[in-house]
Amino acid sequence: MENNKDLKEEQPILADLAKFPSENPNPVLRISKDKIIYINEAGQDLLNLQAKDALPEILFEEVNKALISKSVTTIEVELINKIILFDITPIKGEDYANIYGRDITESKKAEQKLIESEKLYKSLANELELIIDHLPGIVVYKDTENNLLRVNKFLADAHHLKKEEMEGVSSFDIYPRDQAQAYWDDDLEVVRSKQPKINIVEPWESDLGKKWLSTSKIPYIDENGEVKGIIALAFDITERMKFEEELKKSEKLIRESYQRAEIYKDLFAHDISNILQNIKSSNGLLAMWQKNPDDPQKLTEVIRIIDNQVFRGAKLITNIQKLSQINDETELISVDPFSKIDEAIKFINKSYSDKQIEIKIISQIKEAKIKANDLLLDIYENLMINSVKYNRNPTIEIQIKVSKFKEDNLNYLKFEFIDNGIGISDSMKEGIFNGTTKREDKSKGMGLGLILVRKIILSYKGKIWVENKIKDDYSQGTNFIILLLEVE
Amino acid sequence: MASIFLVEDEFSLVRLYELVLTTFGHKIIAVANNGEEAVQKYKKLLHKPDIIIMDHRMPIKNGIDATEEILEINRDAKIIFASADKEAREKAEMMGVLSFKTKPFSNEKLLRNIEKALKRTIYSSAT
Repeated sequence: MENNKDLKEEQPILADLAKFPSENPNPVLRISKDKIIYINEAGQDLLNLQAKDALPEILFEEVNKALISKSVTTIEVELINKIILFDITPIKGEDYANIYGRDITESKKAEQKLIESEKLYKSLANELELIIDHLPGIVVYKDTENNLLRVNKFLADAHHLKKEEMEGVSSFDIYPRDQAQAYWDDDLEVVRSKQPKINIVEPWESDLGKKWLSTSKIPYIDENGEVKGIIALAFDITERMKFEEELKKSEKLIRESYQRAEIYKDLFAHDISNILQNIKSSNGLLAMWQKNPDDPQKLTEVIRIIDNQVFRGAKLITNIQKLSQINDETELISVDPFSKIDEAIKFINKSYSDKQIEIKIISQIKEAKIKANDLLLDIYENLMINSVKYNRNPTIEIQIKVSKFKEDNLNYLKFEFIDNGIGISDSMKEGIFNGTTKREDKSKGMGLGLILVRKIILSYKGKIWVENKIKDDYSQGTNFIILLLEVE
Repeated sequence: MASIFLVEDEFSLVRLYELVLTTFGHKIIAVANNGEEAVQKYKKLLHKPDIIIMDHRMPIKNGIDATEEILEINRDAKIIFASADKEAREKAEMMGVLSFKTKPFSNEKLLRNIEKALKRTIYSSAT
């Protein structure tokens, strides 16, 4: 009684459960090895089959396989506009199987799209890698711990490594410590600021040698706003740097040449004005004395002044001409320094025949040869002219001392031109040979003669400096010292 | 007749100024060959000169700097600049020098400037 009651109560539940396959929106079938035992409505609609129909060809082979093997088999069947996945489940102890179908059209489409986009992504990634590898510069992706995660072929090749060999390696393992630290400091700045750092000019050492790079570092920030790494792009700017360096040097040379030309122009204009003033004043006096002759001695004195000024003007012109002729490639020959001294002394005595001049040569060396040329005479003449010009004594004394001198394993002849002139104060000594002594305030340096002397000596790879004749008293006279290379 | 202090580093020009000025009755009371020497000598002169003839480009101290220092000692010092440096003119004139002669100039011009300076000295002492 109790059992009947239970059965009665459960019948609606069982009937409801029996609807389970029929209400399934997906195809559900029960099949024997050759025909359909049951097919729900969804299956009928989809497969256009009824119960007791023969097993369709598309399922036949798989169903039989499943029944024989007694294991679940899955088969994907493409129908018109739909793809259905059938799970063929043999029923244990029976010679039939249940088939559960499900429409996988959309997921298949999505899967297909995924495959296609993966393919596209791979293709793009390959293209990108190819491009990055063949960029004429470095591309690196680093983590925030200073490890290289990706490098391009350019960088790997520069270190004679494979890309993979560099990945995971710290900068400190590749570069000199100071340099790696500098790279790392920049990385940390980018990580901290979350801002790119553009065009950092930095050195780079690799198997390609020492180079200069222009590097830009960009933070790679994830969706949470956290910096996950740094992308660094660097291009070799060594040639550009060299070019810029050359350009700077050229600009410096041009600027110096211009400044030199200005100094020469200024000195020339000043000296010529003074020469003309001497001549004009002298001429005025002569014109006056012509009508009313005064003292014949004064007349002679003024004529000599004019004569000296003409000589001074001529020397000024030759000095300017020679200044423009000298360059670093001036050819040097073996020259007897003593015969040129004799020649210069003759010139000085002749040019200043009105003055009492005593010139003495003090030398233990009788014969020598130095690396020089015809301009050697201009050195001697200008130094002696200087001694005469800046001298108030009735007798102008010039001593020329010659001795041997060795410095930095080079053999020089040392020439000292010592005079009893007005001397050169310490403040003037510094710029005396380049005409720059207090040029900005127009305090007077020496004239073009000494500029020429210095330029000739430098073209001989020699040296020049000036000392006092008496150590702590410049007013007693000057000692111009020059070193000229001996011919070995 | 004026008492004159010559400041010029070119020995030949000093001599020529001497010849010209003494011929016309002026008296050279001192000569300096650079700006520093000029300032030191000016300080020591018991009788200050009527006129100072000042070059500009000289060793140690130039004419402009020397003029500035001399004018600090004596605001009424009468200075005639005689220089080849035209660019010093503006500075010299701003400092109140009597005139600026650009080399080369004639003896007559120099003498006329001295005369003018003397008249100004007489005028200012009369008033």
